[in-house]
Amino acid sequence: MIEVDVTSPSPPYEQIRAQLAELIRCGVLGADTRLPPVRQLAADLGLAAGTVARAYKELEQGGYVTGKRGGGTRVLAQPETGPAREELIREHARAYLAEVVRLGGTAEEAVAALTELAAER
Amino acid sequence: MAAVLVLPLTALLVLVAVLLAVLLSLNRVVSVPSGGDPAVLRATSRRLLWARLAGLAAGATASWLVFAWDGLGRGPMLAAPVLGVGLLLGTLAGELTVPRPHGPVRGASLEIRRARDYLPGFSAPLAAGLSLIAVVLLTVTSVTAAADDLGRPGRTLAMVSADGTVRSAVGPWPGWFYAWPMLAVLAAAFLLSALVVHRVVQRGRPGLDAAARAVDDAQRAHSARVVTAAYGLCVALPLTGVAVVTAGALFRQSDLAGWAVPTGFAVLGVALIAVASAVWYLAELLSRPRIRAS
Repeated sequence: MIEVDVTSPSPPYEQIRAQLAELIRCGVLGADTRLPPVRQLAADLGLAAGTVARAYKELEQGGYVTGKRGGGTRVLAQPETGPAREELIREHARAYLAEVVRLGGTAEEAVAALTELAAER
Repeated sequence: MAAVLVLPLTALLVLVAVLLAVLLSLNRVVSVPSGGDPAVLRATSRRLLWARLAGLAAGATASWLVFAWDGLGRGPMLAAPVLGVGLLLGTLAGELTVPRPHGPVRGASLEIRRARDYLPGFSAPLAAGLSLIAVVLLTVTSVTAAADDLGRPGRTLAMVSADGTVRSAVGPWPGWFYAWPMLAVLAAAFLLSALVVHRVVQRGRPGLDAAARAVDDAQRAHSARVVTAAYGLCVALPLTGVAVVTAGALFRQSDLAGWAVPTGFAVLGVALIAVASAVWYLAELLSRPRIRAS
């Protein structure tokens, strides 16, 4: 799943590109996985098709995906996804912990909140 | 005599379709997890229903006008497809008015939605089969047709002797005179159906929680079922008429052609399949899935 915040200073196409690149680097989207059609993803996000098309084009230029006429956009094989995934999870955890501490919380409270959320899913 | 039988037979078939629709509605229960935004989902449901009803009303009006258009039988033949096209247009209008995702933060899953995920497993192949039968039957009747006594091409089935003398000509026969308007309307209905299904598949999801997704999927599947049923009626009803008229003409030529009787019965079989399909599609149109929170 990806999310776009239209009030963010980062343009929507860049948010889409960054999130998809992250999912590909982590191995969540494996090699040869097909991405949703541009129009479908644009409709689901309430954005113009050109916005999603631009994100896909940048991913193609970055070597993450390949687009073929009639075959859709598919993920290209990435070298060594394992460590990148772990590093990204640690990075997100670090950012979350920093936010909890900024609000006056403790590491235990951060863990408790996460455990509670995980139990709800 | 035939006209006296048509009305009660039609009433009986409509009654069967209504009963079948009730049974389908009772058995078609979609369980969804509780939650989601019921206001948005109800609004979408209402829009889709009212647009369909508006399309049905417009289609019924156009169908009434088309019915009286031609005294040679083309009007009644095209009335049902025109009604179906009205319903398809209404469904398309409803799908186009479904609210787009809005708000500052919007989410999307990376699923790939395809038409086959929503098209009904039995009705869609049946519609394809009926279309194929209609095209083949109309091609054969067009190739074998002759001009009528007023010189209108493709209106009679004529038996011609070796020296070129016309021994017997019976009509009406669904030759090119009838085939081209029917094939044109069927092609338009097919393209419109494909457009509506494309829209049903591609329109945005209203929410990402499990309940909203389940209701949205049920609404899409119902829309696809309505589209298939509307297109199915566009094909099945005129095919019934064409097959009955073809069989009638063949039986009247049985004195001069031995093959006419078995061919006539085979074409009557097509008429039976087509009328049974029309009842099924009407039942599909009248049925509605019940959405129940689990």
